[in-house]
Amino acid sequence: MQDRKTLGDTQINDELLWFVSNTPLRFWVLFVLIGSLLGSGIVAVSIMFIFGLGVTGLNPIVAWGFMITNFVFWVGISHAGVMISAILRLCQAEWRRPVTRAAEVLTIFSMTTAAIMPLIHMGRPWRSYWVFPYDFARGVWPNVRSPLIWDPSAIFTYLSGTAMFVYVALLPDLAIARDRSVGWRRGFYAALSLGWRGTPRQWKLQTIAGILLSALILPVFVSVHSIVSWDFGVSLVPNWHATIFAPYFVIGAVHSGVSSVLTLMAALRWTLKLENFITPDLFDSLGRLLIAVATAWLYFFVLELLFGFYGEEPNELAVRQLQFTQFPFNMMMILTIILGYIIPVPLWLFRSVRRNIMWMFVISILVNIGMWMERFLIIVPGLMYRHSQTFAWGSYTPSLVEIFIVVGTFGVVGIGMLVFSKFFPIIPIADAKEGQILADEIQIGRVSVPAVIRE
Amino acid sequence: FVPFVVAWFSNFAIPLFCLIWNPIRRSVWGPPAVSISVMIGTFADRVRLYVGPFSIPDEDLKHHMLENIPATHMPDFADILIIVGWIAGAVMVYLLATKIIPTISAWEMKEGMLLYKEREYSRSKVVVLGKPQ
Repeated sequence: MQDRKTLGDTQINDELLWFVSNTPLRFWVLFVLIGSLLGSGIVAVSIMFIFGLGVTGLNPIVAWGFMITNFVFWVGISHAGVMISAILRLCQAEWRRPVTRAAEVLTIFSMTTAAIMPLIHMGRPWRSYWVFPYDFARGVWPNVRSPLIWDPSAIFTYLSGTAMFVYVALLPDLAIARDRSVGWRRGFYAALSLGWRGTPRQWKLQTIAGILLSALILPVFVSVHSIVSWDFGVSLVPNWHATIFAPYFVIGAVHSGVSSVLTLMAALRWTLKLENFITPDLFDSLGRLLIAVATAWLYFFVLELLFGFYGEEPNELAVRQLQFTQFPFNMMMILTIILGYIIPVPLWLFRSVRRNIMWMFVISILVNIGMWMERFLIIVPGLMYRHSQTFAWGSYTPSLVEIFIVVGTFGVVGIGMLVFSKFFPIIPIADAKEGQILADEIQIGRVSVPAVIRE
Repeated sequence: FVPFVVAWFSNFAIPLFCLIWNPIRRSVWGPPAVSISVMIGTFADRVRLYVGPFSIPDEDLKHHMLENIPATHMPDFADILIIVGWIAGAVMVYLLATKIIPTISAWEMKEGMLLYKEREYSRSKVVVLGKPQ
């Protein structure tokens, strides 16, 4: 609230549509840089398709490695969209306005990336239709007892819900873009804006749709990462077979997701020159939210360890010993805690740090590095456990191909965000104008206090 | 089976199909009535979670699978008295506490009233809430 700026409608239109209408040099620089990440990923995937899964470090024992870790990571990142958008919309938090669309679009691209990962991981995705249980001539029926059936159901429900959410909120802005465009762009925006004219009835329906979608997508948000966690939780692999996984994964997803939104907002502020909209207040609010979320994550992290040790099952203890005593897992365990909690949270306690955008950008990246390692620590050590049958002993070393596939996924999301912000305003124009209208001041004694007109 | 059905209806079906109606949700009595249903349902869920598993004899716990399903444990008179007494006790403690501690925070209400204003906006009245940092 302290960074409140008074902006006119024309200024809001101009500033938020500037990047849509103009293509500065930095767009092309970013396109090339992020495109090269994407390109390296495409090359790595192509090598894997041509030469087979043998070019990765995977083996029949440790069958899930970097690619599945990446899958879980991106599903986690996708939770930020709903966290920020739906929950803050329902709570009528004013600071959500600049961040909702960016978070929702991040959800869409990260979910898409996550959905691609298992297909790439198959090694021969052109045969993926073999597992589709809908050709009754082959007699293959859906195995509804398998989490691999629950997964795509949850992911596609969430993806379609978020896409609807983004589109409904985008309608007024598409109309503004239509009215300011000429040529093919006008036709493009006109088709997408579905004849939006800004009549009271349209606004009423749009508002109701937004509220309903916010409320309906919340249970989906909880269910998606719970279901992804059950890919591991319903197995009998030591370290995976834990009942704590659903809330643990969800809170980890919120932690990494909101940190990613932080990274994204800083990048958008610098790239799109949105200083009037993405203010230090936003980072302050996100930082405070992250203190609570990170603390909850640490609680579940410790709980997961506690439950593992409490049962005193030899298999479980052996995996814990692997995690805590053997390199590189012990180093990753320490780094996870340091990067996920010990560095960020004490820094976030300071207002000066929360309002410093560069600091928040760096810290949020460190958090996501820690969270990526946390997912790796959950997935791989359990598979490396050495049971009594020596033929079933395996180890895992990621190959360059897998590393570049992971790098490529960052390219997918980055390019998606960049191209989206080139065609559509990344900050909702209608929301920004509504925020200006609802901003007010009240006098309490001799002090003038910022206020909000309650909807 | 019965606790599960009670829990499902009381925790999900009744709250959902009552609270979707604006007159019920906006009334003073509606949400509290639904919340009582939720508490009953949550209690039934706890019964479902604990009573069955605790009914399994110790020797059966060593098996990998449950071979003998234990008989349903119906609550006897003492159980019912304990439940009623415990809930009443909790309510009693809360009532006694309200004699000593004001249940509604006085300073927060005063702060809220300071930050709450109404004013004219266009042709209607709107509520304005102060948001001090």
